[in-house]
Amino acid sequence: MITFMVERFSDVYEELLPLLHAHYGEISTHKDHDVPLEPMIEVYRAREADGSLMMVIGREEGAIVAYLVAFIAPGLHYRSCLTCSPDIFFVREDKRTGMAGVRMMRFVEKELRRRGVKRWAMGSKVQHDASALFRYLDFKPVETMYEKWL
Amino acid sequence: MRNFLKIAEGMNVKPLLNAIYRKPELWKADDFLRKFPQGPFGETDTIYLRFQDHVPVETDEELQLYQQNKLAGHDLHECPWRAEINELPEARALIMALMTATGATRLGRCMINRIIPGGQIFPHADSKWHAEYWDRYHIVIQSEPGNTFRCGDETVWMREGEVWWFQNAIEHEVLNNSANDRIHLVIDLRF
Repeated sequence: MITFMVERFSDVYEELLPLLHAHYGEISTHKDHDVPLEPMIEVYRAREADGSLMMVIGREEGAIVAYLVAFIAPGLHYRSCLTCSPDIFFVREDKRTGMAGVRMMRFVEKELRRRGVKRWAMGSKVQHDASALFRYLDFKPVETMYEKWL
Repeated sequence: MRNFLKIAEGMNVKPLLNAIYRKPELWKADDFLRKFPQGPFGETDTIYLRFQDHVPVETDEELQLYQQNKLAGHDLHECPWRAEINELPEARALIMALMTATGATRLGRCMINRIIPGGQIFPHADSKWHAEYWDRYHIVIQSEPGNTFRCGDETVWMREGEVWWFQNAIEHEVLNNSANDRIHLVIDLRF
């Protein structure tokens, strides 16, 4: 069974690192441009300290098998709109056959509602499309992001 | 949060944890809660440090009087120390420190609960007569990531060395989805 909990970046980062590398290896376009995975730990720590970082961790028998990292703050253009902005989310490959992703998103939604968040944004990669998951959870598509490597 | 309140952290619980590891036979001294008919604690081991004496009642009327705390000669809430406390003076020190810090006036049940990896305390609310009289505190002796404690619509992971109040009058449950035993010292206080 996988259970989800809000955990602290400073507690969990070292344990999370192997999955971050697996995540990077699977989906990042940066690796194709020789940009290594090199998280700015001090920034995450600062955001943890100011309360704007949320890390939801999914565990099975104590081991991390899923995570969602997001930032929560008032919208820069919308002071009254507490907004959850995406950073990353991942479910370990061997745990994707069940409802782990859906259960994690539902846990996140419950936590965001508890915190009074009004707008929750999530991204879906073109090469690793999670649109079906988000539509199933009643998200509406509102934007496509492009990138150009220079 | 409405159902949980962390009141302290960084309590030195290692001496008690060490004593518990040195004396594993204490877990099996009493299995009242584990064998409670249809109770939520089938997967929980408990060391009872303070608990009510068993009161033999002969009639339903006596039982009702006892549950209303009106049975002559008995105080429903009185919890004497059990012999196990003499084996764990480290627990007494933590309990008394909590009483002193909070200004409590009466000490009720004190017990150490252990849930094995994968084990759980099933959803339940504590008895009304008990939950209305006492406030429930947890001192976390051992708890690794993967433990969840839900009370109402709120869920927390209580970390080692932390002290929490929680609202045991409403439905709550515990799941140990970590790879190690979850061990809490549970204390009832009256103010």
